[in-house]
Amino acid sequence: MKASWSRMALYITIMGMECCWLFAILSLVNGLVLQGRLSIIGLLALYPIAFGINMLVARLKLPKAYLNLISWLIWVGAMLLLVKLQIYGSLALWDQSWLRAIPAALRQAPYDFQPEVLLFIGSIIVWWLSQRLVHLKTDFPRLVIEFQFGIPMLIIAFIISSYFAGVLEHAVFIAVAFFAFALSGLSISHAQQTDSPIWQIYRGRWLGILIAGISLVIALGMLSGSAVNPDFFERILNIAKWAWGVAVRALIWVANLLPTLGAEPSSDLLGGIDQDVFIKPKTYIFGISESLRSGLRFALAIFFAFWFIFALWRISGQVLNWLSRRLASMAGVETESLSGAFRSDVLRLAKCILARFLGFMVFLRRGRKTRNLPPEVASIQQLYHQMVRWAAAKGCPRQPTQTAYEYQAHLVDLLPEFGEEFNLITGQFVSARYGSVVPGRDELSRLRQSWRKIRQIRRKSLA
Amino acid sequence: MGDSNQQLNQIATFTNRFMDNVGKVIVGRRDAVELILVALLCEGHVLIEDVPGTGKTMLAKTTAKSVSCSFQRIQCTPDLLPSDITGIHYFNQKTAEFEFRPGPIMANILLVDEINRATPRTQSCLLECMQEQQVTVDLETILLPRPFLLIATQNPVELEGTFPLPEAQLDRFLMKITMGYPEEDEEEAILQRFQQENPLASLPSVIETKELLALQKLSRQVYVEDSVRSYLLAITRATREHGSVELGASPRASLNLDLASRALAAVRGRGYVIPDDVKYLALPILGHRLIAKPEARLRKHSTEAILGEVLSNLPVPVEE
Repeated sequence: MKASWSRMALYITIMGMECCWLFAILSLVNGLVLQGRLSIIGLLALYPIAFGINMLVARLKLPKAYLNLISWLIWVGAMLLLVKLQIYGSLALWDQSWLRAIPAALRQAPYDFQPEVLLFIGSIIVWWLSQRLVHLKTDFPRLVIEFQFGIPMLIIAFIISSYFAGVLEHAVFIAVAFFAFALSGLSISHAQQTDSPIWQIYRGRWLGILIAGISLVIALGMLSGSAVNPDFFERILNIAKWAWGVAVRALIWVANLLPTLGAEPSSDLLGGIDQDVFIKPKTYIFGISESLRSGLRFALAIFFAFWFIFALWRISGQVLNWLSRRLASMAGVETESLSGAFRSDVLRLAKCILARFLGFMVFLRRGRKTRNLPPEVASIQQLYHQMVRWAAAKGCPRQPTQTAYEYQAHLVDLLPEFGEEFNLITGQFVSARYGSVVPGRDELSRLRQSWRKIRQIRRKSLA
Repeated sequence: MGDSNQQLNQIATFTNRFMDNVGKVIVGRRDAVELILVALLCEGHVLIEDVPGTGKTMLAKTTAKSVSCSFQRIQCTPDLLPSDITGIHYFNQKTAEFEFRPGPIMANILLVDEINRATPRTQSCLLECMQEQQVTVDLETILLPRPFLLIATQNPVELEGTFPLPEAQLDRFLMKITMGYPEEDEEEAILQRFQQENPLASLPSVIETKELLALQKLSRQVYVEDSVRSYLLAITRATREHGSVELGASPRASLNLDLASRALAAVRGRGYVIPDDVKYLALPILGHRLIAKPEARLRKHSTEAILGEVLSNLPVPVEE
């Protein structure tokens, strides 16, 4: 398949997936609020048109702001046309009454939801999605994200529909179409990755496999659609009830094995109430002798005690493991008070919470990558940073344009007697920093020894 | 980890063998030999530029002889034609059919001596070969043998009767190496070494073609950390934005710098690239691709100086 074709196929599959969940949600709103007065298909027909227009707009060599402006100006025209065609088809084009109806409907939206408002909101969503699609990277991860997003949207729509006695028609068809689009898109994008096994093995028969795959999905969808009916659900419900009954009986039986804390109610207390009304577990469930019951109680107590100890052991093991990792990363590291460190930590925490709250996490974290380093690597990096700070404090800071080895050469020039130590620390740092090489215990201890040796230099200035 | 160490050992063994072998002929110039080795591992073409008599051709021939593969040489002259390089279809009167007679381009290592003496027409016939490892003759496309490495030499001072290489051709060279004059003791060693006979005549090869191809694959597996890759890209991008540069480094240059950095790291026994590798290779790989603005050239602001400025202004990713 040519690259341009496969890209177009991926655009179509993403568009298809989005149209499926959009159709479900917009149909729900249309059915519940507007009693089905609008044609959702007509609204969604705007999507491919909007995509084509946005593709053309994106080709213009203009600043992004201008491109956005042009795109949304075209949207205004498209939205007006949509309202005219769907709601005011009988009125003349030059009749101003339908034009005035749109702002009026928007003003009334909080009190009375008019079809114009749905068209307005729906067209914004469709236009924005098409604009986004133009700039989207059509690769496998993107298709997976679209698929993952579409599924909850569909589930939400179906659940709401089930509460309102099946407002949503063609639910099976929507689900089948969504999965057909999703699976085709995922398979095409996966095959685009030339290292994927599908590409390597089935390269020659790719199109045939794709068509067969889609046909299979549609056929299975139709089959399950016809099989799933109220009787089928009833049978499943009966099986679930029976399983639940068995589980409850088993639980009651286990509960009866536990020693009773209080005395059994005496017949005096029960008064004139018929004692047969009360369930007597001793005879009601699997009648067993008192001696066997005692044995089982004891075994159960042992069982629970074992699990309790096991859980404690696992939790404490995890905590100890975490502590040992922290200690390993801190070992040999000189702690020092940093002015403003607490304030900066608190500010960072507040910023993080605020950013998460406002949903701007991606914006604030742009260009900053965090990764979990092994404790040994983190330890080396901390040690190197301390060495750099130490040298900077003695008048020999690292220039931002200096590499680690250039800086090391500079330090060795100043302190040739400590050349070996500087070489060792820099070498270990470089391999940990750029190669993620985890050093052994011996190397770490030699490194710390070297750092201790350097720290003992009493000169006030290196320069 | 064990596998990667073994792979690194393979490259290190080859590096030692190659350096020792070339060292039997070329005295000193270990930096130039190392760069040639990097080019071999990247399958990139090399332009050796220096004044006459500094050992350009000798280095190229020694490299070719160290690898057990086919070698051809073209001595460029103004009357050299493209068909003299690519080959021709000639009419065989015995068979009464047109037959293809391959030119010297059909070799693993091709030495193009004094490349700037060939006319632009002849020079441009190398464009397809250098980038696509194929040659098209009379509507027929013929793949060149792999590995294909072109080593060209040129003299920067003698400009009469020469044709400067176009930018498209320069961009196809992975790196430009300058030899420089040898030190006094090195020159003395050269005299002693060449006193009896030319050591090149008895030089053995140290690697087979298949082995070289395998090592090329291995060198591509060297790890490049994200920040180092960003630094590499920042360098090439900065050359495009520099005020004194008319034409900056191309995306092909970024790709070549990345490949060469991996190869250099492998040659130096590392499984990962460090910023020093990138910095070290910036001049040989980017230097010949930059074109300074006329006013910068008038101020004697060379591309080397511009690259130096770029490197001295870009922060190196050291502390996270």
